Amino acid sequence: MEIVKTNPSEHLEHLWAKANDAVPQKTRVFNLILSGVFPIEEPKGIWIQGSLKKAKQWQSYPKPVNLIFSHGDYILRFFKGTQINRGIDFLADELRQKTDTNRACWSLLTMELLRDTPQDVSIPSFMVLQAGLSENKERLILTAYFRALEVNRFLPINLGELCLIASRLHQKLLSFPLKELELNIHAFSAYNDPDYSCLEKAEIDYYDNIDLTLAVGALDTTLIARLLEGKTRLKESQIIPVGVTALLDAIQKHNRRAKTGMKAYAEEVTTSLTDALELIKEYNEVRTTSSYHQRGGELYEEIRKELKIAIDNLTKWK
Amino acid sequence: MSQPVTATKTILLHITDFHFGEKPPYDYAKGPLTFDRIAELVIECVQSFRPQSLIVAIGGDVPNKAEDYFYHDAKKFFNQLNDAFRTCKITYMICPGNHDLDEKAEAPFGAFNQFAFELTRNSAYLFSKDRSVVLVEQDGWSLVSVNTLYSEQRHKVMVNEDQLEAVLKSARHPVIILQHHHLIPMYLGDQSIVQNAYREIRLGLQYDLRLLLHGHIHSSCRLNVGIEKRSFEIVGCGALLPSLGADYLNQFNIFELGGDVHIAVHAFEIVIDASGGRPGVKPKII
Repeated sequence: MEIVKTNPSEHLEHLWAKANDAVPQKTRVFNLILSGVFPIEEPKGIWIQGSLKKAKQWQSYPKPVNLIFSHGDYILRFFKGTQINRGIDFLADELRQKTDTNRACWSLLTMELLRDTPQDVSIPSFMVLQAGLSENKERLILTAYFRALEVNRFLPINLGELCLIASRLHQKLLSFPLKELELNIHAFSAYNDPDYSCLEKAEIDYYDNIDLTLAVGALDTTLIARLLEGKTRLKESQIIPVGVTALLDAIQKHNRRAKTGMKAYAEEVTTSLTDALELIKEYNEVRTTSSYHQRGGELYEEIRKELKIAIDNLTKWK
Repeated sequence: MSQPVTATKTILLHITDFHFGEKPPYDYAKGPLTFDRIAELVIECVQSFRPQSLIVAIGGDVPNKAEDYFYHDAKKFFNQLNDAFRTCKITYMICPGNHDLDEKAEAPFGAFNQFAFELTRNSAYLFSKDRSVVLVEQDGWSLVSVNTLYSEQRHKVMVNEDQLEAVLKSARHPVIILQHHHLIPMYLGDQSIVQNAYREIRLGLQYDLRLLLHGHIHSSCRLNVGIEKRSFEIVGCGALLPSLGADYLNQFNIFELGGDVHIAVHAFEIVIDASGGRPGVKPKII
């Protein structure tokens, strides 16, 4: 167990920095506890503002196209309506009705979800949130449990989410003399991977299929290269094959229809995309047995290499 | 006038205008001049000055577009620098440029600020409208980083005079200012200069400014302002990484900060030897 606390003069960025010191890259720390007491206005701090755009996406419902899922999806499935405020209302009502309540909680996962979701389908690591008030009602307490937590890139987003929840709750609890915000995060398994994609999708994986096919037909290699480069930049836990599959399919169909005088994409492009897809399949299988397997890292590099070969050969023609 | 109080050999490395994410001048993925290789060239050059204390001044335009994954590439670049100078004290100073600004975002410097904090671990380098000038004292020098886009509007390039004067007044040592934008038009119709440059120069002369570093111009520039003891130097530096047209430079500058307030300037240009395709660094007279 590793306990990380901020001093009274410190801010959220210091909590983040200390978490990164406590969990160096390529290590896994069990039961990391992050804790800090801040002014109730801390969510307006400059550092955390940089995380709020993504934090809002994670709290949104329905999820935005660039995320594999959102936490909002899992919170609001239990509430009628589509606004995140329904979830906040539930917490605020609990706290107003019974100020020492132990039921002002969100549970993002149910036993059914844990039991029935296949290994290769992503589900939230953010499992539970509980809100409470100190006895003198001057402190809002938020405690969250994560089954896993990436501390370099995802923690700022998670802290942003907690700040959004805290601000919204504060607005609904103005009758209480709130002065402080206490944040506690308990992560069963904490790790540090600055390359982690934070479950964002590469643009190619949500790009409109017809637009992609038209781009292939129009020989728009700048766009195709940009989409593929975006894919190489993301380090996904489970690599989504959708975009690369659609691109390969479009290129193969274009090449079959290419008539004399019409350019066809070089064989290196189709070969490397085919190889990349094979490797993606193998990678995803490896990841179902372990999140930390060395072979996963090797495969990732091979996939990137194949995609880069495809990019390099995009302007070479048959 | 105040004097630097240190005998430590302090070297200041000024690097600016990285534009991570822009199409690079050479094939960084497989050619002779990778990002790693450029970092190595800079490191080798700085090491030749044998610094005991190294100040790295990052002059903005870190990414080409203010998105976090381009800053992520930049972090890898600076990790190399940190690894190379483990035995010497490194102090970072940093200011944002126009490419670090996302005018449409709720927090226009949000991604930049998170990068700046990760690099410096200093909350002072979190820029906002109310905090556009940052002072850090190091090795007998007052290091002042200025956000020339505190307006959060790309075309409103200005220094917040009140904030700058307050910081200069509180500075305990001779001052070095780092900012992104330049003070003098570089070509006819140059609209990107600091609009209240005259006032900034006056403040500099009033408060013991010795050196003003800037980027943005993607080429070199060196000017003396004032006379005798009431004077300072303005040194503009070319862009470190991006693809450049004729008359522009891939450049970095090194300054030896002497205890007698002497500042020696060494400019270096990154070049590719056309015959062998080998990258290298050559001194540049500015």
